[in-house]
Amino acid sequence: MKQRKKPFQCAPKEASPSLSHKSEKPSCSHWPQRLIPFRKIASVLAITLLAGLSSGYLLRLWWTPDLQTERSIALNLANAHHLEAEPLLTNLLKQNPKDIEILKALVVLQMVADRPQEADEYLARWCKLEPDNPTPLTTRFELSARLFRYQTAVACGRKLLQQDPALSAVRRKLMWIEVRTGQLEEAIKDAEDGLSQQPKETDYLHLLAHVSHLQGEWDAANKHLDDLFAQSEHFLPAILLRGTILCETNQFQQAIPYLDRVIRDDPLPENQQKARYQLAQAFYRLGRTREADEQMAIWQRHENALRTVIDAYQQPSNFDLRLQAGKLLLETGQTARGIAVLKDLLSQDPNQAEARRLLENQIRK
Amino acid sequence: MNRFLFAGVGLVSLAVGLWIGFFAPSMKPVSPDNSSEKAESLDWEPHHLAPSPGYPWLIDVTRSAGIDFIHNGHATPDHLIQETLGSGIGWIDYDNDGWPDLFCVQVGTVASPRSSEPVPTHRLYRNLGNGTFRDVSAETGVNISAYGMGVEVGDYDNDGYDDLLLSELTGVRLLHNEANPQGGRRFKDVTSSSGLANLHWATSCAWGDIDRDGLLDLYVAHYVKIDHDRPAKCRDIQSGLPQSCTPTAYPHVAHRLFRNLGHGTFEDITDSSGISNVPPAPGLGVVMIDLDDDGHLDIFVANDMKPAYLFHNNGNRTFTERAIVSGCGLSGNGSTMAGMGIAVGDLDGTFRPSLFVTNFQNQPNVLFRNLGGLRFSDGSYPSGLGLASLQRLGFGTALLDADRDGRSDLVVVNGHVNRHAKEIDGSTFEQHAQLFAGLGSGKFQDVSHRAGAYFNTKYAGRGVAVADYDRDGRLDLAISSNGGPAILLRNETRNANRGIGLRLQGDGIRSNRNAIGSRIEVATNKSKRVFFVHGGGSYLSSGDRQVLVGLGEDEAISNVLVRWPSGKTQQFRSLLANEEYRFIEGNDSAVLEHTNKP
Repeated sequence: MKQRKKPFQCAPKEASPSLSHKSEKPSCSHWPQRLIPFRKIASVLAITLLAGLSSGYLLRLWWTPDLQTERSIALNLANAHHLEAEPLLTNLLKQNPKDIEILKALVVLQMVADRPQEADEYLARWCKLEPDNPTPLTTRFELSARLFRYQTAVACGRKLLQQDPALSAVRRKLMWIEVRTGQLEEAIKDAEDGLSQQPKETDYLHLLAHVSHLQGEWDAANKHLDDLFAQSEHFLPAILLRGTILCETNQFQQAIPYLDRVIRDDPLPENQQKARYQLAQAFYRLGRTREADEQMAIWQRHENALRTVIDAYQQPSNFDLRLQAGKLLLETGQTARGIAVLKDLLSQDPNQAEARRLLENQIRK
Repeated sequence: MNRFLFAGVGLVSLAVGLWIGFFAPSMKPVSPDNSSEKAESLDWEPHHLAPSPGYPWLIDVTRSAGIDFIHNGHATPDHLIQETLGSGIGWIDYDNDGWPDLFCVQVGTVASPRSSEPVPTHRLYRNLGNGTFRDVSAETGVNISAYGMGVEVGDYDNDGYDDLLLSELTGVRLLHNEANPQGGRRFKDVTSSSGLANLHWATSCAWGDIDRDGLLDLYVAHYVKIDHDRPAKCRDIQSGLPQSCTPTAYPHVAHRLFRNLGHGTFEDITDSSGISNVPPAPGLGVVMIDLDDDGHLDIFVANDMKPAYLFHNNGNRTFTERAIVSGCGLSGNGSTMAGMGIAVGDLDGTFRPSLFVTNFQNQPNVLFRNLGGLRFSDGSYPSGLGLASLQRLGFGTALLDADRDGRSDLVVVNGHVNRHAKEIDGSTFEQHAQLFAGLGSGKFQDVSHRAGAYFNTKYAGRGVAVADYDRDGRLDLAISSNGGPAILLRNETRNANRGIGLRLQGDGIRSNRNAIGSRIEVATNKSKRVFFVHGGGSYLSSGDRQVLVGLGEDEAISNVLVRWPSGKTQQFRSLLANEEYRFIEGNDSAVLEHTNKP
C-alpha cells in the first residue's frame, strides 16, 4: 500500500555524501538550505505585519466616530444648501473618494451655487463609481447638454437607453442632440426605435421630417409631416417646417397660413423669428414688398432685443445695457422675459428708478 | 545582532501594517472620467501619414520652404475683441517673375516683452522658384510694424505690378509696388497721397471695377468701434469665465467704398453710392463679383451676427442693398450668421456663382445657391457642407480643384475665438481645418482625415489663400493662424488627372489689368464649366487669381470663352494640358508661360 505523506510536512532530505553533519538534520524542501536563516525574519515580518494591519484597522474603527460626526454635519449642511459645507465635503472626499453620499452632496451644492462645470466633475466621478446607477447618468446627461458637451451627453444618453430602452424623454432629447452634432444616422435610428415603441409620438415624426428636410429630401419630409398631422394638427414646430418647405419649393401662397399661425401661436420667440423670415421671403416672392418689409422690421426689433439681452448678461456690471435689454423685451411683447431681466437688475441695484417704473407699469397692466 | 535585526524588521513591518490598515480605503484616488475628452485629442491614424488613392493630399512644407513666420497672438487677460480675429495671408507675384510670393500680415504694435527683441513686422517671402522662399521684407520695405488685419492684392494703377492694400486696426495702408533704385522692386506707402483716408478698424477689403472705367475701386469692410482707453470686458454667462465681447456689444461704422480716379488717387463715394444707406454692421468677409450676370460687379459682405449685405450694382455708381430680399442676408432658418470668410464660384454646375459663408460654432456654414435673377436659397445641409461644420468655427475658405477631377473642392480653416472654448461650449480654441471634395451637382464630402497631417492637427486657423506656388499645375495653400505659424501646404495629390493654368490680363484701359470681373467659360470634349475672377474673398486674405482648371483625364481644352470686365468677349482654342497660359485682352492667341512638371 502506498504510504501517504502528511500534508505540509517536510520530507527528510536524502543523505548526500558531500553534505556535512549539519546538513544531515531533517530540513524542509520549501526552504533551500541557504535561505533557512531568513525563515525567522519572514515569520517575524508576517506576524508584525498582521499585527500592524489589525491595529491599524482597530485604530480606524476607534477614529471613525469622529469622521462620522463630521460627515453627518457636512451632509446636513449640504442638504440645507449651505455652501459652507463645501470645504468639509471636499476634505471628506479626499479621505474617502468612494463616498457616494459625499459626491452626491457636492453635486447638489455646485448646482445650487450655479457652478455646473464643477458639478459635472463630481458627476463624472459618481458615474464612474456607479456606472449602472441611472441617477447620476441622467443628471450628467442633462447637464452635459446644457454645457454644450454634446459628446458626453450622447455617451450618457446612449448608456441610459441601453439600460432602459423605454426612457422616452431621454431618447427624444438624445436624438435632437445627435442632430445638432451631425450624427443624423444615429438620430434617425433613435427616432425609429422610439416610433416602434410609441407609434403616435409626434416628436419622433417631427425629427424624421426635420432630418429629411436637412438632407434636401422634401418629399420624405412631407410624408413624415403628413403622418404627424394625422396624430396632431396643432404641433407648431411641424407647422413651421411645413411652411418652410412650401417656401423652399416655391409654393409661397400656400406657405403663408402655416407661417402666420406659428407667429400667432408659438410662444417661443426663436420659432416666431424663423417663421417671420420665411413669411417675409414668401411676401417678397409674391411681390408683396410692403408686407415683407413689415415682417422684417419686426424680425429686426426682436433680434435687437435678443442680442442686447445676451450682451447685457456678458457684461454683468453694465446696468444701463441691462435696462435697455429689459425695455426692448417689453417693447417686443416678450413681457415675461422683460420682467425677469428688470427684476434681476433691481435685485443687484435697487436704485434703478427707470427699471422700477417699467416694472410697476407692467404690474399695473 | 540577530535580535536587533528582528526587532527592526518587526517595527518597520508594524508601521507599514498600521499605515495600510488605517489608510487603505483612501489610497486609491478616483480620477474624473474624462475619457471621452481624451479620445478627442487622439488625432493620428495611419492614413494621416500616407496618401490614399482617390483623395487629395497636401503636405506641410513650411519649414523646408523657408517660411518662418509666427503670428504675434497678443493674448491679454482682458480677452480684447481685436485679439480674436487674427490676421490674414496673401499671394503676390511682386516681381513679375511668374512665381507667386507670400505676404504674411502681422500684429506688430504690441510692445515686446523684452526691449532688445525686435518688434514683429509684416513679412514678404520671395519665391525662388525651387520650392524655397527668401525673406525680402526689409529690402522691399514691407517690414512695417502695425496692428495688421488683412491683405488684398491688386494692380490699382494698371502699371503691370500688383500692389498691396493692408487693413489694420486703425485703417488701411496702400503700398505701391515700384522699382527699387538699388535693383528689384520695393513698396512705398502712398496711403496719404492716395486719399484712402480711413481711421476705422478695417478687416477684409476687395478690389473691383464697379463703374467699368478700367480702374480698380476699393471696398473696405469695418468691424466695430472700440474704446482703446476703456475696453469692454465680458464674461461667459454660464461659466463666468472672461471672454471677448460679441461684436453686437459695440458701436459700428459704415463700411467704405472708394472710387479710383486714376493717377493714384481715390474718392470716398460711400454716401453717394448708397453704401452708407444701410445700418452699419461688423463686416469680416467681402467679395466683389457679378452675381446676376448683368455685367456689373456686385458686392457681398459677410457680417458678424448681423444680416449680410448684398449691394446690387445699379450700373451708375450706386448700389441697392438686397441681401434679405435675395435670400442671402440670413441663413435659411432666419438666423444671422457669424459671417467670417467667403468663397465664391460655380459650386453646383449652374454656371452661376454661389456664395459660401463660414459661420460660428454650433451653426452651419452656409451655402447660398444662386438661383439666378439675384435670388438665392440655402443649400447648406443638402450639400453636405452644413452638417460637417457644426462642430467647427469657420474662418478662411477658398475653392480649389485639389485633385483636378474637374469638380471644385473647398477648404475651410477653423479655430475658435474664445481661448476658454472648452469650458464655454465644449469645443476647443484650436481646431482642425477641413477639406471638402466636390462630388458634382453641389454635393461635397469631408475628406480632411485623408488629406494630410495638417488637416488632422489643430490650429487657431484664420486666413487661407490659394496659389500654385511651385507651378506643378496643382493648387497649394497658405494658411494663417492666430498666434501661430503661417503654414504652407504643397499639393502632392497623385493621380492621372491633368490641369491647365489660365491667367487673365486686362488691357489696363477699359479693363483692369487683374481682369477682376471676368467670366471664363471652359469647354472640353465632355463638359463645360464657368469660372469667375473676383475681388476679395476668403478671410483677410488674398489668393492668386490664376484660374487652374482641372481636366480629369482630358488632354486639352477645346474652347475658352472669356468675357472681360470691359464687356468684350474673346475665344481661345486648343489649349493643352499641363501648361500655363496667359490671356491678354485684345491679343488673339494665348501666351504659353510655363509647362508644369508633374
